[in-house]
Formats: sequence, C-alpha cells, structure tokens
Amino acid sequence: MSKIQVKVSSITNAERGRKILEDNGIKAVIKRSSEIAADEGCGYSIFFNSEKEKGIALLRKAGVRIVGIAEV
Amino acid sequence: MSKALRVYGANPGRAGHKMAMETGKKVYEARENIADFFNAPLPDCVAFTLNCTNALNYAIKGSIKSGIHILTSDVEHNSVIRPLEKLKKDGIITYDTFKTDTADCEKTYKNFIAAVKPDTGVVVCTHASNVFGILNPIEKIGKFCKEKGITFIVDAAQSAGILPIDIKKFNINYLCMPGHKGLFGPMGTGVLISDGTEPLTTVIEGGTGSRSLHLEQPSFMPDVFEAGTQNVPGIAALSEGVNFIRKTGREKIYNTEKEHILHFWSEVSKMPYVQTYTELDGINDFSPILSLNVKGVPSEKTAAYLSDNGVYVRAGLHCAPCAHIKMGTEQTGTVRFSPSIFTTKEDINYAIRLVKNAPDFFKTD
Repeated sequence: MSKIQVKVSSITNAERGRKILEDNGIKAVIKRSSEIAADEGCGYSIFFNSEKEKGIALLRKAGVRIVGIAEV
Repeated sequence: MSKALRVYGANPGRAGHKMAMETGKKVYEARENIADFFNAPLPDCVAFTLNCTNALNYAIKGSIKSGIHILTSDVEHNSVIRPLEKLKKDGIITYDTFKTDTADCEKTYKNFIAAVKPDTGVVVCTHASNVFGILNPIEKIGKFCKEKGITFIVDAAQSAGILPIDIKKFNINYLCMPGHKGLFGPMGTGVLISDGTEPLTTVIEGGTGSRSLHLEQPSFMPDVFEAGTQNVPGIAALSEGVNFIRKTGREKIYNTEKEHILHFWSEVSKMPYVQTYTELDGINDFSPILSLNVKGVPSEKTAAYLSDNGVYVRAGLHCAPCAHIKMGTEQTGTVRFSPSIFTTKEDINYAIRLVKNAPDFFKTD
C-alpha cells in the first residue's frame, strides 16, 4: 500500500503534524527525509497511509509548514 | 536529568536514528507541557533558551525598530535595563520608566498610562520585582498594549509557576522566564513564549536543523530563537518541574510561600532593629519574597551570619539596581528571604529567631 510522505520544515513541525494526525485517528510516523529538499535542505517527513486527503487537509489547516508532498 | 543524559543523548532535529527521534519527541512534549501551562497558542510558540536573560534579550532586541520608544518599570532587573541601556547608548531607542507603587497596582497602572508616549512601540516589564516582590499589573497593561498595537514583553522570572499567567488572556507578545526558579527546573534553562508574533530581527543565528539550505535564520518559532544545540537534559528536567507544579498545585505553592512570608514579616517587622521595605498588611497579591536589613549592618554581613547558621539567602543588589535606587537601598543592598513549598514552619521560625538574635551577634541596638 502506498503511503503519503509530507515533508516538513523542522522536527517541531513534524512532531506537531504527527500529533494532529493521531488526534484525528490517523496513525503517523516521523522519519528523517531521505532526500535533501530543493530550496530547503535536510528535514523530516511525516508518513501515513490512511485518509490521505483528510490528513493533508488537517496539516494544512493547522498551519504545519509543508515543504513537499509525495506518494511513496 | 541523569535519565535524559543516558536515554535522550542525541541531538534533536538533526539526525534520523532512533535516539535522535526519541529525543525530538521528548523535547516536543516539553513544549506541549509548557505551552499548555501558560495557554500559549501552540507548542511551537515555546522556545528554550539558556536562561531568562537570553530570552529577554531575544524578545527586546527582536521587537525594535530604530527610533522606537520603550517603556519599562522602575523596578527592573538588569536583564531588562542593561539591554535597554545599550540600545539607548547606541542611539537605536529611547526609553523611560513608570513608577510602580509598592502596594497598589491601580496606582501603578495610572503611572504607566501617564508615561506612555505617542511613539511608544514596546512595553517591557517585570511581573514581580525580584527584590521586593512588588507586582506590576500585567493583565491591565497587556490589554492596553493590545488596544494600542504596542508590543508587550513580560519578565516572569519571579512569578512563573507561582502567580497565574495566561499569555492569551494577558495579551502578552513575549513571555520570558528562567527554568530554575518557580518552574523547579535546573539552572541553564529558560523559556521564551511567543503569542505567535515573529521577531523583527534575531540576536543569534546558527544551525537549527531546519531550512538548512538557506543562509538566513528561519523566521518561525521556535527555530528563530533556537540556534545551536539545545540543553536537552535541562529541558527534560524543566518539563518535570512543571509536572511537579501541576501535581502539587500552583495555588497551593503560592499560598504556602505567601503564608511563610506573611508570618515571617509579621514577626520581623516588629523588631525595632530591623528595616523592612514593603507593607504586607492587607496586601492582596505579591510575589512571596521579603527584603530586609538589620539596621547598621551591611546586608552581606547579615547574610553571612545567617549562612553560618544554616539559612541561605541572597544579599546585595540582586542584579536590580533600579529597584534598590527606588527604595533607597542602593548603598546597603538588602537581605532577601525567599521560601519555597519545601520550607517548613519550623524553618521560618528558626529564621525569625536568628534575626531576633542578630543584635547580640552584631552588638547593635
């Protein structure tokens, strides 16, 4: 099953994002991003594989600084 | 702290291995804990600093534009006055002080209003004097500042964890505090909470583990104020300190300390050879500390006598010359008593006996 990878700008954003998703019933994990994001640098990604659109919407609404989104 | 040294020994926000991720989570939990305690909008609004002085420097210097007028109180610690004095000497700002009343916050507020100028852009003041316990009416000042679009910075060094502080309700833009006083954390920790305001400029720039391709410091909280490696063991311990306050009850801590100081003051203020500087009879709220002097005895000598007998206090100017100038104690300093939740009635009574016996020791009248 593919997962959504939401690349964020900092570990604090990653932790906040994970908490938001989990508070809304979406299991999420944080990992170090394997690529250096263009225009950003190194960072962290939040991975989840359920309710993908809802999850992204929740993160955007909460103001989590999203650097990129990919399906992996 | 010792657990943190062993278990959370990796740098958070830098690597992706298990220990780094666990450490990042621990630090975030500390942010959540403190954000909740002070009603900050988000955990991200909580930045960890070396101490309150650092936090105040970041907040003050991050809030100014050239030519701005700053208003502060006449009982400030050097962590507020020295940055202002430097900025003034460099020709960047002007600043004035408003008079705090030793017992009546309404009078203080009127003095504050009278001191505001059309070009006042920042108000920075202590919540409670670290020498005399005098309060500034920060809720009312915050409301005024919000209405006028003035940035409001609070030094909560002597009140965080003891007096109620709600960053949203009090309209505070930056709330600064040390970890090692009322928050029961270790020395070498401090907190700077923003209401979401981002600083106009930064004081220290460096690695944050974020936006690392950019040569400019990130502008968002908390990274903007957290250049370099954080004191993770300190942060973990600070969060446990806040948990202690939650478990014990902030009000219980305050009432216990207040009771100790009122009892202490009621006895020592009757002694003719003791000079106290605040009238606590009928006072509603104050930070539970008491400054005094044994008449004719330098404050450091009194402190040494107390220390030799097992009572540890601070004497001298407490890094707050303005407060001492206000109260006329800049030549003598004062002896400051500061009980805690762990202080017992017996401890207070013992301290009272020592003060009572001071004339015999110093051979004064």
